[in-house]
Amino acid sequence: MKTLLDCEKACVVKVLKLNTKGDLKQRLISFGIMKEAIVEVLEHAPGKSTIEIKVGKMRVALRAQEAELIEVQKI
Amino acid sequence: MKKIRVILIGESNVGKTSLINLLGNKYFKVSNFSGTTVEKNIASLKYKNHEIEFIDLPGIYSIDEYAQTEINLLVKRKIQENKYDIILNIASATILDRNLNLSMDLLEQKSKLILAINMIDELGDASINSELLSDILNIDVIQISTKNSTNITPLLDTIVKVYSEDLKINTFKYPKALEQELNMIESFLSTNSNYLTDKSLDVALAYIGVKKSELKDRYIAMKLLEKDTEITKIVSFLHFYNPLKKLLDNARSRIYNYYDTQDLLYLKKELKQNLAHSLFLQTTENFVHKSTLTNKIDKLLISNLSGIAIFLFIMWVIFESTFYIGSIPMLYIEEGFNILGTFLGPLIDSPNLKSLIIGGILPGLSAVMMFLPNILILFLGITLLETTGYLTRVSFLLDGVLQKFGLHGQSIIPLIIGFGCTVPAYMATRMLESKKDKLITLFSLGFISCSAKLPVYVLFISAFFKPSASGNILFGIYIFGVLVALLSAKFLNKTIFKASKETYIMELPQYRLPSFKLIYMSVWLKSISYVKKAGIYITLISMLIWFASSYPKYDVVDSNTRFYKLEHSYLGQLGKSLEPIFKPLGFDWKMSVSLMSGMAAKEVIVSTLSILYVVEQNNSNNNELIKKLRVSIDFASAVSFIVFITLYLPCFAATIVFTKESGEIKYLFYLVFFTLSFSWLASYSAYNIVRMMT
Repeated sequence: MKTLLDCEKACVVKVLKLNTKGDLKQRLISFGIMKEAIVEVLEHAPGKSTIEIKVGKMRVALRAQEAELIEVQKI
Repeated sequence: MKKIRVILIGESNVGKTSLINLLGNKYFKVSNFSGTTVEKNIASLKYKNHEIEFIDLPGIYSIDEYAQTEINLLVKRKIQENKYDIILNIASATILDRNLNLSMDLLEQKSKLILAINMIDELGDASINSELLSDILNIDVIQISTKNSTNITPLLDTIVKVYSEDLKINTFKYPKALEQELNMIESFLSTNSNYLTDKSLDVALAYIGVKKSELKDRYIAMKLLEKDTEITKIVSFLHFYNPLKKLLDNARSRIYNYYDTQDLLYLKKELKQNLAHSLFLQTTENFVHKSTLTNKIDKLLISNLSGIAIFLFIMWVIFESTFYIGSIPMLYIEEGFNILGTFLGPLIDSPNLKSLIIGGILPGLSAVMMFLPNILILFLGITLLETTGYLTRVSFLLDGVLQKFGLHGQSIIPLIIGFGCTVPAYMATRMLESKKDKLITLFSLGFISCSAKLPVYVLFISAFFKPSASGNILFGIYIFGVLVALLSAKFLNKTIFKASKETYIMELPQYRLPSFKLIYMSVWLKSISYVKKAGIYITLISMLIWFASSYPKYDVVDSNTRFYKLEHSYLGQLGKSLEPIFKPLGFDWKMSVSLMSGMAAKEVIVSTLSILYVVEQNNSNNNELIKKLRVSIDFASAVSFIVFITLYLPCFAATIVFTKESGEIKYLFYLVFFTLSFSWLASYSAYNIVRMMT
C-alpha cells in the first residue's frame, strides 16, 4: 500500500482511499482530496514533517501524519 | 428607515474582511468599527433609505454535519439563530471551483442568499458567466473586486432588492438516483401532512434549532434517509411509522446499492461537490491558473535551507527596523511630553494635582506614546507578512519543529510578535483554530521577552557583567526565555492540555500584493486599539504608583527626607510586607517593589529602581543608578533578579488581553500561579547556585 507520504517531490498520483473518518475526512474532502482526485506533490518541509501538494488548482499543506492516511496510486 | 442585517459567509482568504473594511472606509467613519476588540467585525452604512449592517464571520469550509470544529460550530449557530435578513456568500474567483461547495451548503439553508464572487481583478483572460450561474442556482450572483472597488454599489443595490423580495424557492437538486428516493418519501410525508400538528415535534425541533414554519417535508425526508437519530425518534411515535419505515428501508437499500456506500452524509457531500464542480465547468471559461509564479516563489521560500535562511533574514529586517527606525522618533516624543509638562506645570495651582499630572499621568502617557512608532512598524511588517500569503509558508516551514514541542505551525506567528509586545502577540493567537493550540501558545508567550524588558536587562548587565561579555549575556537571556517557552509548551501539552492530535491541513494561498488601503486600515485600527488599551491601563497604574509612593505625607526635614518618605509611603510598606516572599531569592524591599510595579508595565521597573535607589533627585541618571546597584546588590541577587524578570507575569495590559483571549477567568489564575511559582523556583535555584559557585 502506497500513501501520499511515500511520494517523491513532483510525482503525480491518484487518490484511492482515505483511511480516516469524521472531521479529518471532511476536511480532506473539503480541500478536494477525495477518491479519484489527482494530486501532485510539490514540496517537502525540512525533515518531511509537512508536505505541500497541489489538488486541482489549489496548494494545500498537510502534516506527514495526515498524508500517511491517504492511499494513492501512481499514474 | 429599514435595517437590513447581512451576514458574510465564506472560506478564509476570500476577502470578507476586506469587503467590511472597504464598506466601512468608503461609506462610514472608522469609529463604527469594533473589529479590533471583538471577534466579529461589523460595518454598517446607510444606503437608499436602508441601514445595512454587515457582520463578518470567521472563514469556514462547510456547514454540513461533518463540520465540527469550534469555528464551524460558531458559524453554524449564527446561521441557525436566524438573526439576519440575508446571507452574503463571498467566494473567490480564483478558487471558485471549491468555493461553490460552500454555496451548495448555503443553498440548503432556508434563507435569502446572495453570491458575491470577489477578486475578479485576478481573473485575467478567464471569465465567469454569472447570469447562467444565477439562473441555475436561482439566487442573485454578482462579481466584485474589493481591491479595485468594482461593483460595490451594484452589490448594495442587490442587497436592497433581495431584502424587499420574497424568499425564492431553491431549486437545488441531487442526482436522480438520490433525488427520486427523496421525492418519494417527501410525497409520502406530504400526504400525511397532519403529522406536523403533533405536539412532540415542537420540543425536538426547538432542540435542533429549526422553526416549524420553515419545516419542509424535504428536510425531514433527507434527515430520515440519513438515519438522523433525533428526527427518526420523533417520527417513530407517529401513527404511520410502520409503512414509512418500510419505505425508508427500501429506499436506503437502493441508494446503498447504487452508490456503493452506506454513509449518506459522505455521499451527500460527494454529490454536492460533483454538482459544484460541474456547475463551475458550465459557467466559466478559460480558467487557467497563473500559478507558475507562485510555484517559483514557493520553491525558493519553502524548500529546505533557502527557506529558513530567508525567513530569518525577513524577521531580522522587521526587528531591525522596528527597533532602529522606531527609536528615532522616541526622543522627540519624550521631549514633546517634557515640554508639555513644563508648559502645563505653572498653569496648575494645586500642588497635589500638579504632582499627580506632572509626576504621574504625563510620564505614564509618554511611556505609552514612545512605543507607538515601534508598534506601528512592527504591525506594518506583520500585516505585510500576513496579507501577502507568506506567513502560511512560515508556519509550513516550522510546523515540524514546533510540533515536537506541542505547538502548532501557526504558533510561530504570535511567538515572533511576542518579541515586540505581548499584547498584540496574545491577540494573534486568534489565528489558531484549535482551543488547545491557542491556550498552549498563550501560556508559553509570557516567557518570550518583550521589548519592554530590554532596558532592565541592559541596566543589570552593565552593572554586573564585563562590557565585553554583555552582548552574549543579552542574547543568552533571550535564548533562555525561548527555551523556557518551548519547554513549558511541551510540559503543558503532556499534562494539562492533553488532547487528541491536532490536524494541520491548510491552504497555501496564491501570493498577492495587498492594496494600500487594506494595509492602511489594518495598521491604523491596530494602532488605535493599542493607544486606547495601553493608554488607559498605564495611565491608571502610573497614577496608582504616584499615589502609593507620595502618600502618606511626612513633614520630616533632614538630608534623607525623600528616602524616608519613600520607605514609609504605602509603596514602601508594601515592599516591606513582601520581604518574606522575596528574601529567599536575594531581593531587598526596593527590588520587590520594582517587581510589583513591573506587573503594571515592564518599562516602569527601571524608573522605579531609580526612584528607590537614587536619593538625590536632580542627579538620577543611569550611571548613578548603576553605581548604587553595584553597592547595594550582590551578584547572586542580580542574576536571580534577571531570571525572575525573564519569567514572571506579563504586564497588566497583556494579562487583561490574555484573560480575554483565553476565554475563561480560570486561565488567569492558572497563568498567575504558573508563572509566579515557576519564576520563584527558577530564581531561587539561580540564586543558590550562583552563591555556591562564588
